Amino acid sequence: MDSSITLSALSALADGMLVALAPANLLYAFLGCLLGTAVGVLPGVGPAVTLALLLPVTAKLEPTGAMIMFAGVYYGAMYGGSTTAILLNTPGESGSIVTSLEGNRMARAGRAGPALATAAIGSFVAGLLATAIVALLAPWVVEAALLFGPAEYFALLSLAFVTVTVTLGQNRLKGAAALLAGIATGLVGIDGQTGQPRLALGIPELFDGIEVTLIAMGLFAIGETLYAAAHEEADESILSTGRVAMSADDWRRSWPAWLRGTAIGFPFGCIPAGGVEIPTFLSYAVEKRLSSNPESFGHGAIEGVAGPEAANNAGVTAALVPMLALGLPVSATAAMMLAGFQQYGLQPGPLLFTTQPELVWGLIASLLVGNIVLLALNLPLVGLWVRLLTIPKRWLYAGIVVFAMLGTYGMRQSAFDLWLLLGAGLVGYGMRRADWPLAPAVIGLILGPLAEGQLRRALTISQGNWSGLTSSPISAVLLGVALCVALWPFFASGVRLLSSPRH
Amino acid sequence: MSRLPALAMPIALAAGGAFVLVQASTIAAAGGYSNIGPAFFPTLIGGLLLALAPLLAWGAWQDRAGTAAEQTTPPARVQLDKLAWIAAGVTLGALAIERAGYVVAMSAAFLLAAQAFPSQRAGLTALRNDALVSILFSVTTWFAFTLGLGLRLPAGWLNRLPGA
Repeated sequence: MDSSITLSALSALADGMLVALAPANLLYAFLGCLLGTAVGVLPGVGPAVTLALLLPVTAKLEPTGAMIMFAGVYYGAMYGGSTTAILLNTPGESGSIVTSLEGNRMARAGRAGPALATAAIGSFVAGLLATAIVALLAPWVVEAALLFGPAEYFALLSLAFVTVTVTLGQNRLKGAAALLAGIATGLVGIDGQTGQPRLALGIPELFDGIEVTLIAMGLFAIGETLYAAAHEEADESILSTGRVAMSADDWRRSWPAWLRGTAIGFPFGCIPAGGVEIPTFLSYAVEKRLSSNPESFGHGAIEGVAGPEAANNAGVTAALVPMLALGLPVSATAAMMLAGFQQYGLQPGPLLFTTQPELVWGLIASLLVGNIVLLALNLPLVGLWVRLLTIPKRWLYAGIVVFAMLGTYGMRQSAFDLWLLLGAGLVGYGMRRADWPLAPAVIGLILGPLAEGQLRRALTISQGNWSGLTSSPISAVLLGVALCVALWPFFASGVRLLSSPRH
Repeated sequence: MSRLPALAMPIALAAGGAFVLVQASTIAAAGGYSNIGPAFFPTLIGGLLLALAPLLAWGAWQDRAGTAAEQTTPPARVQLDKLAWIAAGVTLGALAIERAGYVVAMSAAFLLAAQAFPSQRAGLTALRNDALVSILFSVTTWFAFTLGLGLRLPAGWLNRLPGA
């Protein structure tokens, strides 16, 4: 085992700490946490929407400061989301569904304070541990990724496409449709290799392609607003928080759940198996199973908030390993983070660690700082966040619409983009209505052009011979796994057919 | 209830796939050493989209029949007319931002979008409050983004104000 990689990671992290603790960057981290929590706490606004809406805010900063602020937004949005899930029973994203399950019950029983506290401290513990593991693990992944050529990258991207399709959303056909629609959108514009415009209809505004952030704001923010307007729901009452303090018993029950949640969430976040839905539910099931009084679950069991919240945060943090080291976003939030990098013309991947070490390690270190800032910010200020929940819906959503338009227009001062935003919003509404997952569309939009480029490069190397794609063991295995995952339902039903007559 | 809404997304997907395929056929294919040119990927994706559409339509049709049979409570009311307020807001914003400027266009967009949601107050009072908040919101964001973040946003009619 080569310990020099770990050692150099530690020294790089120490350098990163110096970057993160520079006064200006500390201020950006603080601002990011504040804005992220404020927007993330708004009902109907999940972390992905928060990131999409706040991308333009960071557009004019220098990259390191912007990414640090973005890391704060990332975490702040998560904290804000769980606050909403607990107090309002409206989880902003799939990762918070489980939190609202027990957390809202606790709040109804007058124990909102301990629920918020265990969520915040659990996220803090998980975030801290997960960031440390990211710092130690990422260099190894980078090391492996440096061996990747175009064929291996194409195989990895194919695997990501398959797993994203299978795991995000309930129905793999709908996931595939969303993914392919995203890839098709990514094809619009001038082809990088031949200079030919594709799918652009001769419209000059489309020659540069369609911005990922624009599509994300349309699908998430405008789509959500349209859905909320058309599907009027009774207002959930906001529950009061009470004292944000945990009793000795709460602590005793919470801390093992935090650690178990972290252990469950991290591996799921690393692999391209999409999002935090599975680990949060898994953590909930584990806590229920290990609990000495499982009958308290469903009536406000604190472990049921502590475990899933930790799993959620660990998973979200772990998603940074494939995102930073391979340029592979595995969830909608990670995809928005990647869009943030692309805003500066930076392409995450193994090379970024050597070309921009200050940025990468400053970002990782600022995750640690951001966690501490958040804990200090959230528990005392929870009363302020709760007041944000009382903003009337009509102003809240009208504000979201205007903010999305501002962000879209601000990117390149083009009124044409606002029409695209409206179009993406209507598509987002249709997808919500038909229960299509949104994340594969955004991931396809980001990864589609990469996959095409790698495929064409790989085939150029093999002189147009398709067997070149499977000539290396790594790419053959990756493609094989992708094929197995894609065809699994057929295998499963085949096995069932074969085995059933015997019983 | 008509089955058309359930089929809207598969139909849109098929239309999109057909569009991508037709467009791909107009791309001059120069494969070079790789043997696959700029038209390969669009053709592949367009074909897959087109192939997926009937499968999704079939699934949506089944879902529809299934839920209709087992549904005991009426489905939540969907008010599609509310969408028009928001669409109108974005449309007006897109049309007006470069002529009337950011503050005027976004105030109007805010005001229109807000009408998509119910209000507790009576019609005119609600409208007055909406107008006040919309102006406050666009003026605040205008200053925050132009002065604070250095973003360029069109001033439009505000340039004609005396003293501006």
